[in-house]
Amino acid sequence: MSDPAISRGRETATRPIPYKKIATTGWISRLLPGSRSEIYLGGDHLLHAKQIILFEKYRRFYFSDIEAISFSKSNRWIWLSVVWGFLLFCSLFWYLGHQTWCYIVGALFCLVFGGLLLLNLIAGRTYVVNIQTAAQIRRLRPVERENQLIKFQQTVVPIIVQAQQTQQAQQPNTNEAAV
Amino acid sequence: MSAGAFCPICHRLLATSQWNLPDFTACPNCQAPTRTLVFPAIARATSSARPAQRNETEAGCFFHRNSRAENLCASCGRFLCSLCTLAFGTQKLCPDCIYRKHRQASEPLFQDQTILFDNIALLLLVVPVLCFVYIYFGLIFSAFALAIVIIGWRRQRPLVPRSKYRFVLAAGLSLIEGVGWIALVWLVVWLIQSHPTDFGL
Repeated sequence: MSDPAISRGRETATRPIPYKKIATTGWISRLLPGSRSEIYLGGDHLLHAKQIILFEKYRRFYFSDIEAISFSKSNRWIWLSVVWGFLLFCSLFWYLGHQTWCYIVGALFCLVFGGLLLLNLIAGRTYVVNIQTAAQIRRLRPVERENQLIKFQQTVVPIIVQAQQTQQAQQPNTNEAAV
Repeated sequence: MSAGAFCPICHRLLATSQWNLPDFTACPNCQAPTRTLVFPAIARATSSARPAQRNETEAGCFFHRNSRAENLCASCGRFLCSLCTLAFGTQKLCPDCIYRKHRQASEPLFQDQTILFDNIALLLLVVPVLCFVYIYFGLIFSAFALAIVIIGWRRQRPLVPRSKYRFVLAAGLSLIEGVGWIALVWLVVWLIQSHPTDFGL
């Protein structure tokens, strides 16, 4: 059992993998079961961790295997703005009460829904983002806001390109890229 | 070679002319504005080619004796042909080792899920209170939650960093709820004993 390949395998088995969080879904998702997910940057892969109440499921995307990242503009942010705006408008009806406690409750509701509307607008427009390898296509919910998507691209795309260029350089005959 | 890149909305194939464009273009099927970043891996040939035949002087695959060995399994060291070599990240493994490691789930690289004991304990403490089951079985739920906290403190091994504050919170809540339930029962018994006529006794 002195083969270097075997001992290398053992080393990787016991060593914990350090992960750095690069994106997460918003705090509202923490209240909704199954909608919270996070993306972590590992040494040679991306890790997508999704919480389903009692479990946390992991999906790995190795930089050398990622074939495409596709994103489409979606109208979800407009609908969310409409919903929060409508609720903000409804909150104003408390002021018809002409009582002090009605004003206080109205102000609280206005603050909550106004804040949510503002946060939604600041977070930017929404996208549907998919990551694709030969084996799987997964939706990346943590990077579906414009700011997050830009940051994600800036972080991940150069790493993927570098990993695949290195791999191509190591295997020039088997890996002729047509892209 | 892979089939190509897909639209995230309608999941139909996108034309190669839409790959790596600086701006969004409409998907030919659903017309959604789409942008696709395609990487060289999409053009990589999959291992569909038949493994090379072995000469008498060459080492053969552990699983296919007539196929030429091209790799070593990084875990068990078996000779593997191109068909049996499975790239798992940077490692090359045989199907047996992948199956075994996945079942054992002892290695972080093969862990695909973890049980969140802290969430289970918190659910056991919060749900009974919300459903009013706490009045009858409060002590049992508190004891279960505390046991789960004790078991899960060491056994919960998430791949990603996760704070232990939920465990502390669950332990504190379980003690409060347990003591609260005992106090509630004691209060009810004391009320019944001190004012038996009010309770029809």
